[in-house]
Amino acid sequence: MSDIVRFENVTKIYERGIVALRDASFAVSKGEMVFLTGPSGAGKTTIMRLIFAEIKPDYGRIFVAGEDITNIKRHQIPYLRRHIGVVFQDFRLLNDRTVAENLDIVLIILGFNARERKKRLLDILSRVGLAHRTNSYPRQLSGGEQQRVAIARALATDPMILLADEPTGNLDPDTSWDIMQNLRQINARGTTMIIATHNYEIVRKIEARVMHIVDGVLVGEKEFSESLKSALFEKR
Amino acid sequence: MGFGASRGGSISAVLISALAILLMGIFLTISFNIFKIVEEAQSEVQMEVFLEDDADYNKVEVSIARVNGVMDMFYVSKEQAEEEFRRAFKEDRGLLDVLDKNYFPASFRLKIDYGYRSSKGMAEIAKSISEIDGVEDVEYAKVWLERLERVAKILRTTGIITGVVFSVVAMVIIAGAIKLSIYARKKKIAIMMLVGASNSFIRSPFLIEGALIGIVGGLFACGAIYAIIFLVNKYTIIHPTSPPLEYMLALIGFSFLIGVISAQISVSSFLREDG
Ligand SMILES: Nc1ncnc2c1ncn2[C@@H]1O[C@H](COP(=O)(O)OP(=O)(O)O)[C@@H](O)[C@H]1O
Ligand SMILES: [Mg+2]
Repeated sequence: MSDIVRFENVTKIYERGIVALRDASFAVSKGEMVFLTGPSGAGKTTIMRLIFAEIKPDYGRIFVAGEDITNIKRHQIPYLRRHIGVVFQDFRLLNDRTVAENLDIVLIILGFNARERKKRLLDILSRVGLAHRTNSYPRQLSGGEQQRVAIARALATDPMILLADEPTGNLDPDTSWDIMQNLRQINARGTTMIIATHNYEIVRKIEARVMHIVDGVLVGEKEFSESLKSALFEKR
Repeated sequence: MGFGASRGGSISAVLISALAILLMGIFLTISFNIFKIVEEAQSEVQMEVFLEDDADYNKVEVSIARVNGVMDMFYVSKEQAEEEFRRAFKEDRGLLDVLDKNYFPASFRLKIDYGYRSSKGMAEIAKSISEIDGVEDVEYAKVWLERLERVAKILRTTGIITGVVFSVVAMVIIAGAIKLSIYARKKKIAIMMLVGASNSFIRSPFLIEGALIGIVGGLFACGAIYAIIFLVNKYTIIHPTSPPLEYMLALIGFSFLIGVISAQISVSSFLREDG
């Protein structure tokens, strides 16, 4: 089984009966790069949160790296999360800590000693092209650089999967493109990548599988171009 | 992990929990001193068994010796009793002149076993002995003993209530401070959970913080208690002794426990509502 993420008929219902995901089935193979598109409120973030077990499905089953995480126990969640890196639109960096310190927190959690941490830190930062900014504070960095720090932090656990939830949502087109290129490089080195995005420009330019979701329903890839048009139309 | 972000909350928690522990400690000191008086008084508890004039005191002695709780006894003859009386009232000539013959009964003075030095134990012994042939009367400080016991009981009850109340106050305050401290690091905790930090990893700095608040509060309180005892000895007519060091260490240990438990409560409730 080379599926690294598999959803089987997954339904997620939030409070007040909001159905965020309806009977969704899909699989992502190891090393794959997948775009998750769809209008705001479609259920993209919900899929991400289900994968790293921040929420549990109401129906169906979810497998990550062959493990059934549908009813994962609380104490097992940390171990699952060490295999999954997560990047958000709003970076979520600690603004009173330097770049190095932001990453160090993760390495400390993983139990590395001071020397290993230093070595890994530079290695990870160079993968996002920020080895020269270790002692800067997030506020001293551009949005794109902050997002790179967030990506570096997500890579610090050496995850099998990287989930990026609208990673370029706060960035200008050029910076967005750079970030996407960076994510693609990381994917090329073997990290499975699921990227939720609104940026159809990028989706069109980068060759990757696209999963489109509308109102909690995954739309088949055949219908995708149709719904893409309507989504673009909706945005105007 | 630094504790900088909400130091104000922690400092006031230290002070308030120190105050709570101090009040507990003061109460402990007062109780300790009163209990000491009670204990001293109890160690002097005696029982006197008066004999009928024609009693065979050897037989009575054997019977008394059989009663549980009697540790030791010695005989006071009629002559010795009168002699004692005369010595005690030697200034009061008028009273002594009235004594035309020896009205004083012979008696046994009993030493009572430690476990029987309560009003209940004493009453039991008194009852058994009064049934012995040749015993006229049994006397001991019944009323006084009961009063002593009532004081001890009140002290114990208030002690428990005070302890519970101040423990709860200290716990609420420390839990509040830890909560503040947690909320100051909410974002950091969220990130740590996201990258796979275990609950115990997230929890431990806060438990340490709670423990420190407890220990420092306890130390402050103990220092203050010693200072207060010193000042009371120096400037007032009462002379309390400080409770033994074990008591103080126990107080600090208790304070430490309160700190850890409060922190545990705070962190658990946070992790539960968040995950
Ligand atoms: N915690 C929540 N409680 C209730 N409803 C939620 C919650 N999170 C998301 N939703 C709802 O679920 C639907 C899907 O949301 P989401 O997965 O965030 O969409 P997307 O990321 O595609 O914008 C939306 O209707 C949203 O309002
Ligand atoms: Mg979203």
